[in-house]
Amino acid sequence: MHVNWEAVSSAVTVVWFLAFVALCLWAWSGRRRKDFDAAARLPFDEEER
Amino acid sequence: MSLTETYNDKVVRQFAIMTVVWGIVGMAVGVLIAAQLYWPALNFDIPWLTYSRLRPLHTNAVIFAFGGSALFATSYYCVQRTCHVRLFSDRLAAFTFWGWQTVIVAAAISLPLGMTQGKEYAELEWPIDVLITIVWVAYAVVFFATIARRRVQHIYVANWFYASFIITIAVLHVFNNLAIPVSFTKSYVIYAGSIDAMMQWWYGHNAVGFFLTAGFLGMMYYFVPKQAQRPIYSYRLSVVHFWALISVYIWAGPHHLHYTSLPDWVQSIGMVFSLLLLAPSWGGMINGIMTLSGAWDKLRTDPILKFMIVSLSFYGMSTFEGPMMSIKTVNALSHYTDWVIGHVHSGALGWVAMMTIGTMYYLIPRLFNRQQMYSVKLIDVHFWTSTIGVVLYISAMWIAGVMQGLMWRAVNDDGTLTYSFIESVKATYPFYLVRLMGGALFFSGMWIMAYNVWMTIRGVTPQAVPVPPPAPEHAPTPVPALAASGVRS
Repeated sequence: MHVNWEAVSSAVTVVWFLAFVALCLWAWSGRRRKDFDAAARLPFDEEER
Repeated sequence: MSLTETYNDKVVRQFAIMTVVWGIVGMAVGVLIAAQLYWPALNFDIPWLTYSRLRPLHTNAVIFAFGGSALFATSYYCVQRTCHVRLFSDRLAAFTFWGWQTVIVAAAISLPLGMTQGKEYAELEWPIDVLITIVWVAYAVVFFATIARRRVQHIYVANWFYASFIITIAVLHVFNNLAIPVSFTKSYVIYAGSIDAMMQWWYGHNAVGFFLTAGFLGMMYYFVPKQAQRPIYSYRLSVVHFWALISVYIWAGPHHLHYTSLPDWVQSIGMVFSLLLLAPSWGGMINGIMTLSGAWDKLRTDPILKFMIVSLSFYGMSTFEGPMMSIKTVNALSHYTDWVIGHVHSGALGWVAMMTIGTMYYLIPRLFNRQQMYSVKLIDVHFWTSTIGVVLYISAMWIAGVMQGLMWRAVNDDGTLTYSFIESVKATYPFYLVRLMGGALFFSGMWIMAYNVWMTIRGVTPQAVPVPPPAPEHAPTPVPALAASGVRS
């Protein structure tokens, strides 16, 4: 069977690029803001001794 | 038995103290071999004191003993504090400590005896490799079981970095060390030719990418905010930083094999992914440094923060330098020269060691019921000896390296080489002295640290710290709410 590796390689590049864009959109979506702000405060959720 | 759950800080204390001890041992060997390059007679014609045997001892000691102990200590501390739960299984945690120390001692004996697989950063022979694998699986069980039992909903970003470091190192270690033993002390790896080279540098570069980078980024994401007393600059950036860094790093290895018999397209992949790495690396560096935004004045008075921020600056520098050196035309000049040694030490001393030192100054008093280190002034002295030491070291190696590269490629009109190899060695000679001075200065700082640590912990009986309940905002969402709000991790 003939496999067009150039097409496979291009497709993989495009898929990974789209995954990266999706990751950024997810991370910067307004709905995540509250949860991320809380997560950033996690290390401070203990009394300092 | 007390009813309140406490943190398992005993294993953290053990690893933290051994971090300082192995730092001194590993750097002492480094200073000795740097001196041997200037005064070759310092091997005293004793086989186990030769450069060839001590150099792998130096790299193994500073990476796996000093860096490794620091990663064990900080990951165990961070995962307990951010999950509000005691570390899983005291016995297994103790096993990782004693097992890892056994590995280090076995390395310190077998390497000077000349037992080696001949793979850089993977020199240890198969019985030690098997022990490393067992200890590492125990480490993974302790770490992930602790996360599984957490009392908060979210897994803090530092733990994601530690987790990726633990998983990836397991995979790298097992596959690069697949070998056929012919005796108790000798084995041959199953790979041959350029496949062996590619496996080796897939391992070797990701030892840098995951052991010395992802692991220490985990340290950065917990301890820099703690010391600065401010949350990380951008949590969303940290999420993108994590996924981008781990998916790109794993492909960068072939840049160690430019212009070799490795297929050209594989070399190009290595170069392209190394160039891409600049973006996530600098994203992380900016995220760490900007955590201080609005509180820059703290840098004036807090030497621990100085260590951390200068460490991040060296991280930014060496992750700019690395991608540049991976460009094939630049690599044609830099490869096999002392420039590479300079680059490695701007990462290893500047980034890894200074982040570790800063973190230990934060951690050690807290592990021994103290408000702070015995002497803040001495931390400041240590900071300046380290900084001047690194700068001397890397500038000497930059100049030496570029000079060697230029001398090796110089040709006369008739096509013959302008310089013999020994002429480049002779020209390098003075820079080896400067490097030795820089290394010795950095090493002397470790003794200041040892004294300061000793004075801090002397006569203290450490007390167990109770696990506080998490704040309501961090507590896991009850099941009905989880169903109502759709997908929540």
